[in-house]
Amino acid sequence: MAQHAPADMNRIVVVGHGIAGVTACHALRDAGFTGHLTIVGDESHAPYSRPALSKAALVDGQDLSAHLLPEATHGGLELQGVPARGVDLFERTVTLEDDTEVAFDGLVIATGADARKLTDSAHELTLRTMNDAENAQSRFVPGQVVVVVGGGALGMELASGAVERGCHVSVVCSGTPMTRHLGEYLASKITDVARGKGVRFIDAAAVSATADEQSTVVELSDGSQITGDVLVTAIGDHAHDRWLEGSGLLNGDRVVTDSRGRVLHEDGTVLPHVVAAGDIAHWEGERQPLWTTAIEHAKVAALSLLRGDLAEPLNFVPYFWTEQFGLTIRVMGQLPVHGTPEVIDTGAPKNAPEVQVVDPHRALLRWASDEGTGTAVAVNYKIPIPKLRRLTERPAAAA
Amino acid sequence: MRIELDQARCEGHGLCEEAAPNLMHLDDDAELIIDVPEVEGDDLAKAQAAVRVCPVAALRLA
Repeated sequence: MAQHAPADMNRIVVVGHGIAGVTACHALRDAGFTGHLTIVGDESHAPYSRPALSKAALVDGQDLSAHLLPEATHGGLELQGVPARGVDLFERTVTLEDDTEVAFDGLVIATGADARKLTDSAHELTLRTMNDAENAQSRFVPGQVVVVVGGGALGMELASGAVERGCHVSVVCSGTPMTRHLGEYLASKITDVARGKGVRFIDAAAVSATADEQSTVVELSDGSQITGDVLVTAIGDHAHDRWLEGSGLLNGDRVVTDSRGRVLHEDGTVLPHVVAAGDIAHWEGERQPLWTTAIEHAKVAALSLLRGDLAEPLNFVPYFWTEQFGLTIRVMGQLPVHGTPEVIDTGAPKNAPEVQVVDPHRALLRWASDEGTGTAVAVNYKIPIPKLRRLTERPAAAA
Repeated sequence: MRIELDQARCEGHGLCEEAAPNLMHLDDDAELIIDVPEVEGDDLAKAQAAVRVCPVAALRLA
């Protein structure tokens, strides 16, 4: 049966004021929603750009407030610094930690994800928020021995930032870092460059750790220990969804949506008046915690609140990028990629053909998939997104 | 209002161009060109969307 949009959509509450929540608010207004809009967020900072926190902002030590998002123009009521505690689907209210109740006709769930931690020490650094980035800036000082646990994109970006700031860095990871995420080809390229910059890789799993304000000890799966001054972990995240326990909005313990972001009730029915977007959402069963994915989720979810099945379902090619050890890698398409890519270009920039210093890493690469589409990867290669996207669509070259 | 670009920070992702293709574009070398710096009305809303979507906060409205 077709899902129609609820007719009485006068009050919409958005929980979460990261990029998904903020985008949802603006998308609602852009689509003509003129009713009451309330956005609830647990951080006291105004919304900010998150990807920069582990990249440029970490390295150059710039004032992080420069990464605040532009002032909101959606005209909604912003309730900042108070987390939401629960949802009552019958009363249609969101309850905040301070007992405030906010009534809704439509609800957008966008509370993101939290870092997993190895210890319960406040001196274990992770990176999700602006406060985390400020902590990392203050601990990454020259000469410090930094132990990074986790070899995904975030762990490697933090390792890179620590190296740039003059620290001695070890990365603890089972197998070659970045392999699970990007595939063998790109992972070995990155780790080669990182080794050249002095990073030590320890092929083991971290079992446990201790950390205080000046030292850390990490116990490894092979029974050995590694010691250092600063413990940084990037061992994944978990959706920030515990506040929804008992609400009926968790499906198999997760927030699961259909192709338009509408949340599946625990009884399996699609709720036309509750949508989810961003890192918290298992969109059609799958979570994809990326900046551009959060934005696209939010646009689709906002429209489906207002228009039901008339809203277009999500349809986009994922975009991912990372900056580490002097490599900027942009990816359009599905990851990881396996095997050897087609090299499309390694040429010098068009605007500086006279430059003779060749960057050996610079390349535009493409991995073809069986369906005739592909994954396009630019390494230290500036290319506009639409062009990179077109490369994913190009049929595979005839064999 | 006026769209301001922090050229040093811009990494040429091009998400802004997708949000406001009539106001800005990346050239062949992925350098961002602001075609319409002064914006109002519908263009202002589009410019705000472009500023918001930038993952490195390289755009401002002043």
